[in-house]
Amino acid sequence: MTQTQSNRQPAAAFQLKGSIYTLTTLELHSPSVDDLAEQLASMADKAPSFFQQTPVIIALDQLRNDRAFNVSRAKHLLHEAGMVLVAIRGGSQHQKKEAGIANIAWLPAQKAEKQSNVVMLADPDKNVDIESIDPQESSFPKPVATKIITTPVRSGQQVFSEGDLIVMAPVSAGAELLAGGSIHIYGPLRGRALAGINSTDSDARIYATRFEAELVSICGQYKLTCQPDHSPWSELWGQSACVMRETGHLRIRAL
Amino acid sequence: MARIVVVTSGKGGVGKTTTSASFATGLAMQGHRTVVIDFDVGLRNLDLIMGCERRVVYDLINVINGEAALHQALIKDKHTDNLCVLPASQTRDKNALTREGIEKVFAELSEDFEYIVCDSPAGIEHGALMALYFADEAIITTNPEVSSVRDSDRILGILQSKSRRAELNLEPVKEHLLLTRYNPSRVDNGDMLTVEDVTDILAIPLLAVIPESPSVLKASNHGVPVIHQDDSDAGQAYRDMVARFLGAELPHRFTEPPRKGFLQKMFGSRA
Repeated sequence: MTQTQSNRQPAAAFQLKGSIYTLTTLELHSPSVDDLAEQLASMADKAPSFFQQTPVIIALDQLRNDRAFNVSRAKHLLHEAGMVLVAIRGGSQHQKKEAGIANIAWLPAQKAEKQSNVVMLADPDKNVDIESIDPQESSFPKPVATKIITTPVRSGQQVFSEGDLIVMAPVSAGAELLAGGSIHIYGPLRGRALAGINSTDSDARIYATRFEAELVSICGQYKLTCQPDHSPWSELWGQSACVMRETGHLRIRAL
Repeated sequence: MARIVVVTSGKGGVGKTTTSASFATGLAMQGHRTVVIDFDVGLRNLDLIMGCERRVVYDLINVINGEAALHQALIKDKHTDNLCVLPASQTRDKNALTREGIEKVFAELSEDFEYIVCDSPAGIEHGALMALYFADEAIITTNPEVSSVRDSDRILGILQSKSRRAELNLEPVKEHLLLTRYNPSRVDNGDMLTVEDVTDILAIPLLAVIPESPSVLKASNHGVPVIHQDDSDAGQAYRDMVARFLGAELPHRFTEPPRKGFLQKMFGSRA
């Protein structure tokens, strides 16, 4: 009894955990707090309750002359617009000290990655309209690599590509091609080709300059070919063809 | 450094051992010092086809295990100078073949021979993989028939991925297609695949077409490689094959059915 008692730890009042949140970052392009106020006001006019209690980080990475920026005033301005300033990112030692006084956190500057902002760094005093920066550009997903095969894919071999797959040689019966994207074969396709394997709805297609496939599949929907029927599948046998998915069905078209 | 040539197919019964025997004999007849090795451990046949089964004392596995010296196991061919046979063991299994052991044997053979011909067992198991691993060139023996063509295709894929040259990213194994048991009359009837069908599927250069011939069976049973028979079509086809392998440019023969004379057309079935 005594032993168990002595071994028992007092129940922990808290536990520290690392978590990742997406926070709204206000990337400053002008050190003037007046400019900030003006733009905030116009935004609040358009959507008054949109930013209620939204945690915000102010990024100073893009500013060269950040001494002119007043942290406490910015915090106050954001508070009026309904946002809660939780931290500033980047800036000089002076800004770091100011953040301490204003009771907000300080985060280290992020390494410059976004090429779209290079123009700002080159000319910090130029007033650039925020609207002109294409928001698509920064969040543009990295293209998935295309795999290119130039030697014959033999029976029993399997080739996988996360993106598109291009084969510039024959694909033998019993070989298998798998691709997250489309499959292009410049030569006879006699094996299996499975395109769009990671999704249930994609525009993936299968192209072959000589279509003699055992099986084709797009997004998990498959078709065994070579049936001696009078469909386009047998008419295009040995021809240049493209297989696509239309209204939930696999279709074949001449190229 | 000797050139290592593997005779392989994937499928059994297509003529690998017959081809190995005649091809190695042909190389030796052209004056190249050649050794032909049987890799079919447990199903030893090459010594029968070469007619040296009564002279086997030691075998490849004995040499690998260090139980015999290489010169004790090598059998000098009776019919041809420059030719030696290294037989397989009939009592062991294929796991007795080790990559290190084979490498050592090949290194020793390279000192005395120009060509090392490996007669691969059928299948894609350990024995076949060991036979093709060190190959510089491969003779893909195929019958004009769908299952044989598909198995050859499979073995080509293995040559590209599991051979030493593939693993070390060296120049790939040089592939030659050898079409055996070809019967032009049956091809014309549509019973057999044509030369074009096979080359189209396998997409490798054609080395030779060996016609289906009764002389092959006869030669095997007599223990004399068919290439020694000058008057047989298969023997001539193997001579062409060796000449082409050594760089000669010869037209392909035996791909057309024999032309029938007037009398044969009239009395064809009775003649």
